[in-house]
Amino acid sequence: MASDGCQALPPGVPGGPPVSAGYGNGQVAAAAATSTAPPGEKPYAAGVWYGPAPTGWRTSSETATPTEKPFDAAKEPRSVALPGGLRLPLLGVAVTDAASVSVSLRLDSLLVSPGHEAEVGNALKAASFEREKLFIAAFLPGGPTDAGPELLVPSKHATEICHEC
Amino acid sequence: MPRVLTPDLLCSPASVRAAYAQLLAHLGVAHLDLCCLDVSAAARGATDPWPASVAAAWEVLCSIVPEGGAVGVAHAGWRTLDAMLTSGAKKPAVNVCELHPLLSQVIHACHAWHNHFAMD
Repeated sequence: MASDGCQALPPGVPGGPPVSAGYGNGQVAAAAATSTAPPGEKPYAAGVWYGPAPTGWRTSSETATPTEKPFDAAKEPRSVALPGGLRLPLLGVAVTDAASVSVSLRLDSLLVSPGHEAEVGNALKAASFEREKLFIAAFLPGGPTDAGPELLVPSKHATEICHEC
Repeated sequence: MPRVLTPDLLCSPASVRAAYAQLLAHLGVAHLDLCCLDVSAAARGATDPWPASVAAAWEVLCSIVPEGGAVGVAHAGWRTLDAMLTSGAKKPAVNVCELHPLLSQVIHACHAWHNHFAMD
């Protein structure tokens, strides 16, 4: 035990003696002794690493933020399998205006929102489509339509959420 | 844009037929591939989760949709689905509902009945 009551800490440990900057532990010096400089480069200069790239380094293309690919309806999944060999089209777009109709036609499916039937009908008349290749779904209200959303989940919190929908 | 139906149109079988025909006329198509009965407003606040008026509308809708078309419900809660299926009504092809984490009870109920979903 040291005379001051403290045990000497090894290099690199907080509170211990400092280590040399850079790669430390003589890596640069060892690389300089065993490596040769690339053609046209100086043999060795402080801070220049001629050895193999340290592991864990990534190229700029790997670290760059990926960009979102543009939406292509032709590449989206069109349907999911149902029992019995049937296919259920993915109704990802609720048609509420003419612009949505064009998107839905590219998806080959129409989910007509209640109250927009005539508007969608006019858009369908203006567009050329093959009816047999288009899946059309619509709603019939089963009761008063001005009552608001149903309380789907019997909890106060869920009710509040649903009222915001 | 006026709605296709007035709130009390679906209380009688004749009204369902008229409403379905009106829907086709508005869309300008001869048939629908899927027609869903929105049961949310009818079941809201009702003591019976599957009211007799909605059950009658459902029976008529199942009878008038031509072969090859599917009938479903929309925004049916788990109580409505439970009451509907235990009453012997025809099983809906889909239950169109909004996907939300707090709807897990509905989703679990539909999985239990091997139902399927369409999401908007």
